[in-house]
Amino acid sequence: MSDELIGIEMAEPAKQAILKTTIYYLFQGSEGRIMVQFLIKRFIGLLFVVVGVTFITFVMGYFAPGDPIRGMLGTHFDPVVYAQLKHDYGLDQPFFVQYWHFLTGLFRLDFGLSYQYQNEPVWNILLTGIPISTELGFWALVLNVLIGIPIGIVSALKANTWIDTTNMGIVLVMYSLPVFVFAVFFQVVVVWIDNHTGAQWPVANWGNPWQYTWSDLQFKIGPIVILALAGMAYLARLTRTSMLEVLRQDFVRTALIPLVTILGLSLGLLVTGTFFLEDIFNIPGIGMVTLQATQYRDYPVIQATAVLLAVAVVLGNLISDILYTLVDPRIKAV
Amino acid sequence: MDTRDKNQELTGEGYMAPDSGMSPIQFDPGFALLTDNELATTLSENELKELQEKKKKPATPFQESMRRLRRDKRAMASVGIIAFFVLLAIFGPFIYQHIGGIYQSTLNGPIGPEVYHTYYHQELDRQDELPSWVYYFYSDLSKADMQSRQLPSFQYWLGTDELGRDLLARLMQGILISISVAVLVEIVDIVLGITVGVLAGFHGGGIDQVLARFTDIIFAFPGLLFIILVAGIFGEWADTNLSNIPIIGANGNARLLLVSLALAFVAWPLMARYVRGQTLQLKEQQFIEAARTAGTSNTRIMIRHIIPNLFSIVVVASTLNIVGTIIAEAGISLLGLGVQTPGSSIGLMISSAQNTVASHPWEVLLPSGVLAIIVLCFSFFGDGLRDAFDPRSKD
Repeated sequence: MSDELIGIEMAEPAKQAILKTTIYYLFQGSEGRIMVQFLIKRFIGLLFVVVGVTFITFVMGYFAPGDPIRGMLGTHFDPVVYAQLKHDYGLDQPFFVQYWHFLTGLFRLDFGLSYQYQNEPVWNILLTGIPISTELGFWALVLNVLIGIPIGIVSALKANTWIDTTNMGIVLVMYSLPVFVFAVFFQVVVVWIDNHTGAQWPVANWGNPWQYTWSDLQFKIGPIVILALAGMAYLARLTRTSMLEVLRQDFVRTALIPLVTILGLSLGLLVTGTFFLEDIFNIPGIGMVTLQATQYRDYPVIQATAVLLAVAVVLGNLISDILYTLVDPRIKAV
Repeated sequence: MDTRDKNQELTGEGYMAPDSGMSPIQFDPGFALLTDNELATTLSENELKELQEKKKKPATPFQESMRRLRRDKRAMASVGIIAFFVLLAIFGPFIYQHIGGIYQSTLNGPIGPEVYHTYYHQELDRQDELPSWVYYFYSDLSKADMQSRQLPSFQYWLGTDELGRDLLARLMQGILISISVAVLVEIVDIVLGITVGVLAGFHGGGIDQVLARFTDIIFAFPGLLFIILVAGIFGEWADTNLSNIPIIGANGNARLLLVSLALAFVAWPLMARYVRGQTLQLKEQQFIEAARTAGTSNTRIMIRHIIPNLFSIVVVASTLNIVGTIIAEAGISLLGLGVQTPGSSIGLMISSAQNTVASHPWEVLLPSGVLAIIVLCFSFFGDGLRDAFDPRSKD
């Protein structure tokens, strides 16, 4: 009896406390809840951006000059075949219906049919390039982090010494010069060495995707390092600044926070760099596929690449936002 | 260790002159501690001049910034190099087309430098012998190769490419294209950026929301990707429809207008965002308050009081943006989506020389080297401008 009473007496405040905290966490707002709110807000923003990007891309394809079906059939064609093809490609439907199909197709990775290769889904064409481009981008991103951050840390620790000055000088050049200038310089140097030593180091093409025998590596090392240069430099500068800020303050917090936020940005650098590298090194990735599509006016392929890459960049931003909220709880102020 | 203090010491009032707070000129106890003659003997001429200028009127913040900029050696050297390239691109072709004698071409008959020093003239069947020393250095040159491709000589200062086109003429044209695109893009960028940015910052509300959302979309879209999309889809249309426009449309330049507009479209939201931020700060300042109290209309406040105060931020932002613009134009032409042959652009020169990188590395090094120099100079100058106009921004 008394035990029960005691039990109830003991339990009551605990229950109340639990209830209180639950209510507090649910309605008054906790870090977790506000983080969720923040992420929801970001997600809505992201949806808006994705719709905007797809709309711009779609409108450009829609108003593109010339009649693609006529281009496919040549000068003499059967009007019945023409009408049939136009129907197959969905080009006989009104503007908003077409946009709706375009938008809903994206979720199923259905980007329509190619103009250049008739009846071939765009996704299949892109699929030939995607493994190669993601491989290139992935290793470049790894190099960004593995080399860029240490350079920044060393510079910050040795701030204003000759080490720092040299580092930052090199980094400024790396960041300022476009990736294609580095690529052609690299080719000139490698070809010169090949000519004078009889070496066989390649300056074009790509080995087997995601395979790393020595001959594969020879193809891949150059483009990956060159693609990583700009992001490396950016990361090094940012690491240095944020480290210096931390060192100057009386209290210690993680210097990692600003770095997380730029993941999205370095993704953008990688995406644009890929186009140049694939063109210069003749790498059959997604950039190459898109550039070939521009020659044949294969608009659906160009649109699909634009949307895919933009969405990749947006997702990168979202991921860095999520990481940001995990690393820095002060985000609830936002 | 603290760079900020060091900067203040270097750029602040007290540098070069004696401590201004205690100088006999500013601290006037009613009788002269030193006569002007005595001052002249103790101080150097420059210091004296500076002191006298200071006595006349205090420097405006703008003058202070310009003084800081002039002291930045790297930025000033960059300006010099940029000026050299601009002058070369604008006046170089006129001069170059008057240098060199008449040349007897097997395909074109007798032609003067006004023909063979244009950037689009091809000379595929050269027959003249090279001086013997050339073969000493380049023993592997074949005769057939030399029929179109010339080494640097008095006639072709930087040599010719595989189609016998003069490399210096093409390079000058390429720089001209880069600069024209940069200027065109910056004009659109500045006009749109200031208009939208000021309106958004001053009025807030709807236009601010639209700007914010639009900027989000543009930021998510990698700029170059958008330009590739535009150039890829509308490029051929531009080739057929815009090529009749003289100068900007002729000789394969038709797509440039398209590319420039696309570049400006991607660039202006960032400018508008900078301007908006600055406008928000300015709006709270007392002189705006005073103008409003005096009954000045909003339009007049914006034009007379806000826009002039945006000068430094706009100059800094647009200089740094020029770097991106020049790179993007070269890149787009390199991908074959910008200037078309027979036109010339730095990117086009790189891409056409890239196939023969093994035998003729010079042709690819020349345009990419020049591009690297121009880009670095603009970045250095932009950095210098930013440091001069906003010393706090230095990391």
